[in-house]
Amino acid sequence: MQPAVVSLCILVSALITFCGFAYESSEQIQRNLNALQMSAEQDYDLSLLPDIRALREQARAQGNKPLQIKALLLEGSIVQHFGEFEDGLDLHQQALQLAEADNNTFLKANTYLAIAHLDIDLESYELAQRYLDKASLLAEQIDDNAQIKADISLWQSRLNMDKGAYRLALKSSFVPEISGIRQETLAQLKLTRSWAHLQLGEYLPAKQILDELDNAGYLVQNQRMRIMAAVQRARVALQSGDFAVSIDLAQAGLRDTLGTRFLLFQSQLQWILASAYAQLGDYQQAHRYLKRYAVTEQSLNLQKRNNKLLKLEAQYSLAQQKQALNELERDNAQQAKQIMAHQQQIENARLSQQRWLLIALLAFTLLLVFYWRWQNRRYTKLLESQVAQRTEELAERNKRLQTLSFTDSLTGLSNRHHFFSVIDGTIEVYKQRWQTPELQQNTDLIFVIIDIDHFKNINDSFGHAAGDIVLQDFAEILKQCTRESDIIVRWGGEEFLLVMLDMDRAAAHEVTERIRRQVESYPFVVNDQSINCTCSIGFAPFPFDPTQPDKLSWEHVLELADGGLYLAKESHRNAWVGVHTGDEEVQSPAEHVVQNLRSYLQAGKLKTWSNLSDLIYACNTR
Amino acid sequence: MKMKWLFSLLFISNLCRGSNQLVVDIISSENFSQRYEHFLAGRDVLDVDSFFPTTKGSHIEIIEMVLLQQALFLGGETRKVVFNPKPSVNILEFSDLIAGESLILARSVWHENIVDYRGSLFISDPLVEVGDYEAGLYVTKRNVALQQTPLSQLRQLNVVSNPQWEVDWRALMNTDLHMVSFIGPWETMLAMVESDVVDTMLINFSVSDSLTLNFEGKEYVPIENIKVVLPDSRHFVVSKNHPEGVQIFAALNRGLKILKRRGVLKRALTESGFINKKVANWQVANAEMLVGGD
Repeated sequence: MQPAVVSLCILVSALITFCGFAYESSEQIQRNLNALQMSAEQDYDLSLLPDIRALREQARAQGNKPLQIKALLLEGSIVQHFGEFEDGLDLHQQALQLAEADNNTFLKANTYLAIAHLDIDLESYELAQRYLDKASLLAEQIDDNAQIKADISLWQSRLNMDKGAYRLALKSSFVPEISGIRQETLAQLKLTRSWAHLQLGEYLPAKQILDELDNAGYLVQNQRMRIMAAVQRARVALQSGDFAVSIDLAQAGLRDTLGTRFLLFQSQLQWILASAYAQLGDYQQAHRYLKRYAVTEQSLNLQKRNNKLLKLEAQYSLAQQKQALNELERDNAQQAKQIMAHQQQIENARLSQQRWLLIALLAFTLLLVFYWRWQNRRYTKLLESQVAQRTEELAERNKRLQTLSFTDSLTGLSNRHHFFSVIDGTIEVYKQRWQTPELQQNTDLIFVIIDIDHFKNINDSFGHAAGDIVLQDFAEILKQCTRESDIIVRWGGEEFLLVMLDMDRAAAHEVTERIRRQVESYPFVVNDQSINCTCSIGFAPFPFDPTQPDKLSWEHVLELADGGLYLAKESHRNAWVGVHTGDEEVQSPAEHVVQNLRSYLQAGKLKTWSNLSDLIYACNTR
Repeated sequence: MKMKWLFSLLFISNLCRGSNQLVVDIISSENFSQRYEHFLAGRDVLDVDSFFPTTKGSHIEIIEMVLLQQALFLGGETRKVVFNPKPSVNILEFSDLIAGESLILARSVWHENIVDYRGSLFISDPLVEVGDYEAGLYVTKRNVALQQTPLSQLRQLNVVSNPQWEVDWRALMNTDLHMVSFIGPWETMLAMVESDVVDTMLINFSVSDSLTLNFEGKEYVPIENIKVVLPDSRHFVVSKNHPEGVQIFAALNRGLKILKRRGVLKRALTESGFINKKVANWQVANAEMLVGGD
């Protein structure tokens, strides 16, 4: 039973070990890293590098950025110590990128410090100061910042020492000893302070600090600090005049530095030895150490020169990179400019196209508008011409209608309607003439009424068609016997009215006689038979009484002419009778004169013209 | 040449007689005896109470020789001082002093150059205190634009300096200037400025009214309104190993204290133009490093 339990235990522990090896916990990695850090601080042992790199890989595999950053910084500090500044810088930059990605203020500040350390080693003091300032700013944001602040003070004071600002270094290396600051850091600060004192020749305060550190017993653990302390103690002895002690201490220190990379301390110890021997009067030894010091210094200077060369090269490559970058930027700018120009061209072309399109559109619209207006105008003109044509047609029709309405369809003469439409105007013209004395000559209007004798007999004997023919022929005779300007009207049935314009009343009977005779002699042919017709005519002048032109209206004068017709009919037929004023002025009213024509004739107040000598109411014939 | 013989004669006679004279070493390359005699113009060195410059060029060396003698006298060392020109060819700069072969140097030295010899050297109270030593950034007079560089644009300028002049180097290291290291003659550095290889160079303010430095017919002026403070003090040093070291150092320090109390030190530095009132209100390019009473 017991062997079985033991086997099981071994198996389990092996398994745990295996798992632990394959996948260590973060805490374990942290512990390992801390241990490595302690070792590195004591002596920058190159053999630590593989372990650190392994830890870094583990942290990376776990995605543990803080541990990764710490490992990077530790590795950087070691390679930097061995002069591989380029790798150191690269590792620090990686750490910085990770810290920025992780937004870890604490680690970012630590990375800045590591870079400041590197820059101090490279004597890039301005850069170092910049990174220290950055770290200081970040430190203010950290809650528990005693340690980081102490670290910053340490590097600030070291920077001040390197720049030869010893008094400033004394000030910056003074950090109150409070909890939360590592003993190592405090010891380093104290060593820096004591070194500053020694540079200023103040060996007593330096001695005091060194004694305190001795009592604390820390220095034994850290080789670097141990040597630093040895150097300082030797120098304290030198400055205080204890040359033998100084030589002992310095030689002990030198032994400690043999086979180490602490070249600076070696040179300092050699200088102390040379000074001490010289002051003891042992010039041979002094010379020996001075030579060694010179060689070491030469090596240090060579190292410095290499560092400076490295820096120069870095600056040169940076300048080249910058130049290349500038060229690239210039090219980019050029290309961007070209692209811009191209875009501008395209834009211009587009705008131009749009402009032309717009112009074309506008032109087309204008064309359309003009066309529309042209069409519109043409149509309007067409309409107008149509309207004008219609109006003309209408006017023509109206004229024809008027003509028709004013014309007797059978004879083609004017009808009563036409007569009434024109007579008032004509009378008005005559009345105006009468008012102008020189136009009173021959300005009578003669109203003549003509009636075909026995026309009823013709109708009855030969039919109405024959009567119509007679009427038509009769009308032609009237036209022939009168002037164009005279008005001939079919007054009704077989009665015609003739108004002779501008006719001397004394000459009127010539016309009536010509008509009577023409009718009498005209052979009217009806149904191939010739028939004879006569006519009776009555007439009267207007104004009837030239002395009182307004006394009788044209209606009165027409009635007087009609009275004359009746006198002709009654007396004989185929005769004409004209009524006119006598010698005396008729005073009676017009109506009375018209109604009592015969009485007036008989009384001789009015007189007649006639072709008849045997008028029933005696009247004078000429 | 004449003076050199004179000094040599004095030194030999001193050795012979062994007593009534106090020999003060002066590095032969820094032998200013001609100008020193010119400045004294027949006066007794102890009677000098006006330190205004009467010669061209740097004046501080002469003033130091005078002040050293006055301090020794006031401290009780009444022997006549004679200057002994010595070449400096030893492996260490101060080896004669350390070895006790020299008693005292005629010139003050930077404190930081002797800190590691303080076991062998007495270091006097400061003749020039930290912060009192000011210098200008000299540029060629023809470059008017450079003369008016503001403090904020110093980082655009190159300054030439010798890294072996540690105090100068440290002072400039703490300015924004870009440093060009050159180890060689001072005149060559000035030529570098003249030929525009570098823009400027750190030089003591000239005693002329316009602060113009005239060197071999060429004129140099400081960048206006900017000065650099040299971050160290200057002291006389006395050998601890010399038989008379203790006594002389005691006398020297006593005398210096008296001179300081009387205000003679400050006045001497001011009148001589070493502390230049014209630049009193100028901005300090390396102000940050001067803390803690510097």
